[in-house]
This record gives sequence, C-alpha cells and structure tokens, in this order.
Amino acid sequence: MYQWNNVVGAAVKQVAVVSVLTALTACGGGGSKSSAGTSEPQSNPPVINSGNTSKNTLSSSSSSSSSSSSSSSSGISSSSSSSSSSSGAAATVALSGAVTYDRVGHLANGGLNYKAIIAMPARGVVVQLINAQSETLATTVTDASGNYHFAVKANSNVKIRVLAQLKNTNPSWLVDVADNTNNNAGYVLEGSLVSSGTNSTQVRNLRAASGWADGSYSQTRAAAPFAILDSIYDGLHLVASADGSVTLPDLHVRWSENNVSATGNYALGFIGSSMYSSYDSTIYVLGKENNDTDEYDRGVIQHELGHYIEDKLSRSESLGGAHNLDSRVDMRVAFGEGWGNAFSAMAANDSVYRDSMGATQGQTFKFDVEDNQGFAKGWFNERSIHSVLYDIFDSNNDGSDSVALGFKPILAALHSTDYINFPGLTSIYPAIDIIKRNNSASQNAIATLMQNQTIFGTGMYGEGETNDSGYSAMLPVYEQLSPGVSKTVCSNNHWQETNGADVRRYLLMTIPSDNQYTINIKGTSNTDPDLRLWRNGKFALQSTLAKAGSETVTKRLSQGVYTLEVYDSANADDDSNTGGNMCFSVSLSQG
Amino acid sequence: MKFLTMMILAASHMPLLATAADDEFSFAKLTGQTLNTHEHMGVHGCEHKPGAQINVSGREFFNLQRGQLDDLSVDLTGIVGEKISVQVSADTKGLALQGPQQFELEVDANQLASFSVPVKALLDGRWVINLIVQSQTADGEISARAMALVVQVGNMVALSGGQQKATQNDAQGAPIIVLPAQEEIL
Repeated sequence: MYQWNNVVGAAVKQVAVVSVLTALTACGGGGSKSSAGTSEPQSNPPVINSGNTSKNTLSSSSSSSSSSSSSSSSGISSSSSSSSSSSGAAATVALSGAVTYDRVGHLANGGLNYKAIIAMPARGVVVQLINAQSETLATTVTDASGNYHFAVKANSNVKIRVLAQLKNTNPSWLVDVADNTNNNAGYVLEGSLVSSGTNSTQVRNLRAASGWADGSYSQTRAAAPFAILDSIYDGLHLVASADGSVTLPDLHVRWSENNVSATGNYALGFIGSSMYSSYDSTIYVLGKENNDTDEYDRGVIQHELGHYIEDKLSRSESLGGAHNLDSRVDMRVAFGEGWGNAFSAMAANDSVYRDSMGATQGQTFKFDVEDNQGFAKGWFNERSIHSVLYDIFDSNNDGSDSVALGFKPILAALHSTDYINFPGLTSIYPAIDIIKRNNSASQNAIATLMQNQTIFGTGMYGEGETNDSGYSAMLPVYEQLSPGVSKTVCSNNHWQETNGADVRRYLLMTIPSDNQYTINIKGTSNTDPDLRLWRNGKFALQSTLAKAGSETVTKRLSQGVYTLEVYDSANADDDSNTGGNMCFSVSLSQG
Repeated sequence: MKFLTMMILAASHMPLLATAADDEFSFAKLTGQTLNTHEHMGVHGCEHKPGAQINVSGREFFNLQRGQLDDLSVDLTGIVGEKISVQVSADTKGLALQGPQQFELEVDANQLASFSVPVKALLDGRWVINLIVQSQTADGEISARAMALVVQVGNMVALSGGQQKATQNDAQGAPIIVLPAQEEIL
C-alpha cells in the first residue's frame, strides 16, 4: 500500500519541547522540403495572410535540438495574394503539425523515471498562428492526438505559439497555467518564425522538453505546464463523458519551479503544498526540484481537480487543512478528500495514487484506493470515503464489491438539486443516499460497501450511525434543535485540532416560521463557544466573539431547516496546547 | 491566524541584514500568507494533497550571512507517538550541511518533534533546505511529505532556481513566458 525508497538509517535525535503550533496551511523554414504531414488539414480552414512582407530568415527560438531544416528560402517575400510564380507554387499552404510534451513516468518501485521519457500528445490546448509583428492571425485547439491545422498564405513568415491553456466548448471549460512567481505570466511554447514556403503543405511539429539533462533540470522545463494540463484533460473528459452539457467556470493553475513546500508568500513560491483554493478557483502546484515537484504526478493534479469539480459542479464546505489517509476529520473534509482521491483514480483509470518527491524526485508516496483496509474506518475518514466511491465506479470486484456503475451516477448525485440544496452539510451520507435512490438495483450492494467501511448511518443525515470511533460525543451526526428545546453538545480536539472529527458538532435547526430567533450557547467559564449557521449549503452567518462561556446571536430567520455548527474556539485555533473537552448547552428561542 | 501572527513576531526579533532600500527582503513579505488562512478563505480552507500530517511549527525562514555557520532549529508537529524519519538536503550552491542528514524522531506528548540542522552559508541568495519526511503513526499508517526551510543569505538576489524566465507581453498586453519548443519543420 505504501512505497518509499532510498530511506536509509541514521542517527536518532531526541525531541525537544517548544511551543505547539499546528500549521494548517492552511499548473527548415521556407518549406523547402515537401513531405507527407502527420495529419490531415482540417476541412476548409481559413486562409491566413500574415501581412508580413519582410525577408524570410529562420530564427529558431528553441534552445535545444530543433530538427528543423534551415535551408531557408531567403529573399522570398509573402506578398498578399500570391500564388506565386511561374514555378507553380501554391497560393495557400496547409500548415499542420503535432504538439507533444515530454512525460516522465513513475518507476514501479518509486520515483520519477527519467530514463523512459516519452513524447505525449498535448491534447485540447490552444494554438495560435503568429506573424512577424507578433499579431495573432488565427487560433485553434489541438485534437485528441495533439494535432492542429491552419491554412496560411504561401511565403508568409509565421510561427506557432502553443498556449498552456485547455479550451473546450460544449461542454465548456478554460484552464490556464501561469507562473505565480512571475506576475501570473502565462506559459507559451513557441516555434520559429519561418516562411510558410511555397508547397501546398507544411508540417511543424513542436515538442515541449522536460529540461532534464545530466541528472538535473539543467534546461528549461517546457513540458511541465503541458503535463499538468494533460492530467486535467483526462479529468475534464471524465466529467464530460458523464454530462456533456456542463459549463465549468475558468480554472487557473499556478506552477513555478520556485513553488516549494514552505508556507508564506505565494508570489515568492511559498505555497506550502499543492492544493486547490476555492477562493480564487486556482490549483497551486509544487515545482521545486529535489524538494517536491508535482507536474508529473497525475494523482496529485487530479486530486486537486476533484476539489475544483466538487466546488464548482456540486458544493463543498470543506474546512481544508491537515489530513492523512487514516485521520479522523470533520465529515466535510473527509468527504472532500476522499472524493479527491477517488476522482483522481477514476480520471487516470488507475487506482494507485503516486506522489514523487525528494532528491532527483527519486522517492514516491503512494497508496491504492482499492486497499480497503484502513486504521480508522468510518464516515469521518477519507480512506473509507474513497474506497466506497471508487468501488461504486469500478468494475473490479476486490472482495465484496459487486457494484460497477461508472462515473455518471456519481456525478449525477453530486450535481443534483437534492444534493446541492440539501440543508445539512456535505458528507458521504447524502451522496450515497442519492446514488442509492437513483440506482435501486444496486442499493444492497452499495450498503454492503458502506458497512465494510463501518459506516452504518443511513439517509441524507446518517441517521442511526453507531460508529463513534471511541468518542461517544461525536454522535449523533446531527442533533435536532427547535424553538424551546435545548441540547448539550461537546467539542474536543482529541483527534486533531481545527478540522478533527470531534471539534465541531452539528444541529439541524427547524425554523417553523419567518421570524426573529435567538441562538444561545452556554458553557463553563473556561469555554469560548463559537457558531456558524448554514442554509441549504450556503454559509449564512458566523459568530466568533471572544466571550468566555457563552455566544448569543439574534437574527431574523426564514422558515425551513438550517444547520448550526458549534465548536469551542480553543479547539479550532490551530493551537493544540489549548482546548480539550468543552460542553455546551445550545438552545433556540423565538424573539 | 495565530500561526501567522507568531511567525511574523518571531521574525521581527531576528537580525535583518538587508538595507532598508532592499524592499524585497522582508520577512513579513516572505512569510506573508496571501490566501491560505481561514480568515482569507472565509469559511473554506485550502484543500491540500494527501500526505503525512506533519508540519513545520517553528521557523521556516532563516537569515544568515555569507560564511556564517549556524544551527537551524526545526520544530515539527505531528501525532503523539508518531515515528518520523527526516532526510535533509540543501541547495548545494548556496548552503553546505555540516551535520547528519537523516533524523529518526518520535512525536512527544506535546505533539512536537525537534532537531537542529547545522548549516554553513556559502553564497548570497535565497536557498532551500529540503526536509523529506516519512512518518508512521501509532496505528501503523505510513505516509510522507516534503517540507522546506528557506534560508536567505545576505541581501536579496535572483531566485536560486536560475531558470526564472523573463516575461514578454502578448498582443493583448498580457504577460507571457516563452518556453522554447523543439521544432521539426517538414
């Protein structure tokens, strides 16, 4: 289940005690050779006039081995209508080619395998035809084989520019990769400014190189943005295969070779970890050599893409923060991370997640979402969540998995109005309840998957859940609260600070009519209760006054069901030296 | 937010070697988290990739003068009883490690594991010490993640990667970084 290589024994250092702070940290020129192209030109492509009348000289922008012929037909000018000459040269040139990038795979026993770099098609990326004045003459998108096509006037001095952007319509998406350490400048791959020549066809194949040479990234890492995009391409096409009508908002990817796993100013590369930020709809990707580079780690990229899909096509209230496969975390975090793991496996059609790191990217952290044996199974555990979701998707029966529904019913559930407007919070329960309702023939088999992960609650709210992971105050999943009723709930940081499974308790608050209501939370003097209120997946309000022993909010509320989230501030302040078991009496009254 | 505040307070007590005019060299700027606090994120947090639940809880940013040898204290937080193996390496152009490069630790009752890294500053610039951590919890779960310490030697110079690309503007005036293609023209 786990792979780690190159670990050698060394000296043991004893621990010293300092203050405890848990840091939740928080993408030939001249056409002198006529040859069969690698692809057919698109039907009736527009004829492009470069408007360039300058002399055609070959200037290669490539710093490395371009195999382009340099037998430039200097002196040829591209006059406007041109069919040139008595030599019978073509008036229009079908300019086509393939765009590829270097893909560095993973060794079976860990680490990136630089000895087996392969050229992969850059699929679905934006390609521009640029003239000598740097004007964009035409734009297209590569096909599923990385091919592009233009029609251009003969003898036009043009170059091919490939944007690190994925673009699609129906379903629609736009994904860009830029450098967060360089003014968010977008990456582009560029060929040479050379003449389109006089033959009827010209082929220009562009390759983005890995930059790996002599045991390090000693050359420009041109492939990285396109490797990231290619992983995203697979994920987006998985979504499109399930729902061809989706419209996705723009997704930004920020990658830099300076992005390192220290936490600080993003503009300097201190992003802490590869991650998705819903705040700016951006996936930040690590790129620091010998520390952690993620551009070739499909699992990492697709995990973060999963967060974006959940955020934009469904809903997410995840707190984010620290988590690992066997931690017991807030049910929203567990679902979000488990979904991310499962989505990456579905998108790659590979159940193994791999994350390379370390010297020469020679080590790998990996796990298999088909490994159903965790240490902390339950509704609060991401391994349990990814296990259930992936088993619903896949056709591999790994023991007790007789379900093989594919991706469509999973996306349909998460994208449904029932799920998006659900008054409770995101967790495995509403997702599974809707999938079961929509796929009645598989209900029992899905229930078996849940039970194998010791998830026993049913319905949208996990009613009847008995798995408290040894901490009884975690159940029920939701308490019920209505006017005139009070309930006792407890917040603790036993499992972990801030986003632990026992930090926050949830109360379904039924409001009988539109009116003003008061929520009152009382505890002992060593407590500092705080609250958040949610309505149908939307954040409604929070009250986090630094007031010992109580928190009171009076607010006009609408008829219906709200979810009240209650916790002690000391259990959610990223400082595990403070807090502990804090119990409150929570009441609701009209007026 | 408390984490960020303490980082900046800690930094304010450290000697700053840069001149006032050297605006970019500021620990507040280095550590100034731009998006990843709950306050900035509203009610949502940043969603990180899977990995070991280990964090640097002490300083991540250090300042040395060229030629200076110092022990950098590293404080990690983890799960009580968790066994941690840390491999340490550095940007060899700018820093030289002067001690062991692997540490075997156990997270104590205060959720801490600490060690120090003797390092000598060789060249001005901003350099990284890599901490590659493998952990095993008391439950038996094995996980890993990379972390980093950032060492500023002397005054600010270009980023240490050495491959930072100059930007151009496209026809619409947007900044772009031109990556050279290996091109085949047929």
